[in-house]
Amino acid sequence: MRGRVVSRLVDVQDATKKFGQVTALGPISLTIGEGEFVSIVGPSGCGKSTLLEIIGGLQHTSSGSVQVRGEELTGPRDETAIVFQDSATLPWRTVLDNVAFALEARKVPRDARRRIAEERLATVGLQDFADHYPAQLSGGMRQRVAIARALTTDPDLILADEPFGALDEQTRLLMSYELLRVVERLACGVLFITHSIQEAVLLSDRVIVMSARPGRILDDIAIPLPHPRDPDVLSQPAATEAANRIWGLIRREAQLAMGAAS
Amino acid sequence: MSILTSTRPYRIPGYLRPRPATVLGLAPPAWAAVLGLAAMAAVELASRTGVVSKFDLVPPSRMAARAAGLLTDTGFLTGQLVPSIGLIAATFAIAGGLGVAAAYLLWRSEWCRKATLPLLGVYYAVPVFAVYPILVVLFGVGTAPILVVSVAFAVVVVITNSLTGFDSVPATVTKLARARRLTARQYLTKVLLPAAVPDVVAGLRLGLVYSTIGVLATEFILSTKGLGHFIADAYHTFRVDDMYAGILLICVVALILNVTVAAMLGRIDWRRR
Repeated sequence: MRGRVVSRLVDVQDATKKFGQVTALGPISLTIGEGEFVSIVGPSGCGKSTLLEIIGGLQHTSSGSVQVRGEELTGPRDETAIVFQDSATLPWRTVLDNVAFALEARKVPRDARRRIAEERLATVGLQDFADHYPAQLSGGMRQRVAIARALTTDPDLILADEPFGALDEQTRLLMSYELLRVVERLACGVLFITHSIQEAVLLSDRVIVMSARPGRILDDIAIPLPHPRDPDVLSQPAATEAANRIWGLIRREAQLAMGAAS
Repeated sequence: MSILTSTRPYRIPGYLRPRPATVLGLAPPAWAAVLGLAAMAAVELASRTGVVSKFDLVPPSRMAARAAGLLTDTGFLTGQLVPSIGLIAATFAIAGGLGVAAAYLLWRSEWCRKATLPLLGVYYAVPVFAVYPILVVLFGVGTAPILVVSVAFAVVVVITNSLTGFDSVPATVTKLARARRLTARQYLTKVLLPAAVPDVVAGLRLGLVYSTIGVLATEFILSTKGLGHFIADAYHTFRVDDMYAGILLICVVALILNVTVAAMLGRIDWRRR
């Protein structure tokens, strides 16, 4: 399935977002195929998160259209799961109840809730921490709780907004690799925002490079690396070449963004 | 030793729950009792040795003996102690309920919040007790004006703290709730209220303290019964033993109320787990 786009999961056409007079985003057009892993890299403030929230149904576009599975998006949908930059865990709930939160909102009966949550918790390796509270966990563990919660509702699309941004480099690569293994098994589409070029290359089928504000797509780079991925692929020539190409584009945009800010 | 040079680990994982360190074989809470008793003993000594006149400062042992006597006096219990405790409980219940409800309203309505928050901010700058002559004119002397003044005094601290609690839901948690399509009711019961609990609890604990102050202070000036009135009356008629016994009882009542309510509220405060 991987690398071979069967049909379109997400289809964004000429989407723009304006806040008052300021155009924050677009016009932008992109597609994500079923089961495809697409990363977005771009300078700070280029509208990556806005784009993600638009596809998640949390924000409306100012113009253009967003379709998911062929239907015009009007708001959040059940089969889309979002993993936010900070873990968005609920500090008053145990880890297990945090994972079950999305199911509770959907009124899944208690027993089924518990069973699914325990299963997903095991998927991210936190089964021994079910009764702990988020404050007792490290930042990386909390983010794994958020990922387990995202997986409980059998999503066909996961939107991840720099989920490992607060973690150190080594932990981040390990965690993103774990995430990749999970989503490969579930065959869901992923839109993944990151600042790490390495991470983007390691995980993605395609990497989209965005410009400084108003965010547009500069390049859409296919990553021709075999599946399943492992961290060793980063040393392959194709990976190095893609990383260099992305870095070249990013550097220019980052300089532009810094110039505009000063 | 400063925190920078200390070899003590200053961040211990919460789930380990280390036992508190002891000094001379006693844990910190035990030392609180020791310090309290030592202060009482010092007063006892000062009074008994004549350093301070027994008329100015009654020895604590005599305060306690007189207080114990009062506690077996049915007239005192039904006429002074019970009415005061009842009023404190009523004030706390009204101010607590009203305060949390008002805070929720302010949280819901941006307009209400902007219109009233500047007033609430300077509320305690105005001494509520200064308006008591107006209340005497409006309500006469008795239970009603005491309730009005005490509730007015206690409610605002509940409002401001609860509002902080309602505001404390992190932006991403609200986004999560929207993405998961929580109903308004689910958001209220599963996100907003639990998130607000620690600050609401803090507000209610302060509300109890303010209720106690409000009731007793108002009884001093506006009442013909209650503990506050009892102390004022003893003071005016030079019954020094009664006055000190009343003060001691007030302290004990306030302490018991506080510890009990704090323990009850602590059970729902997830930050204390």
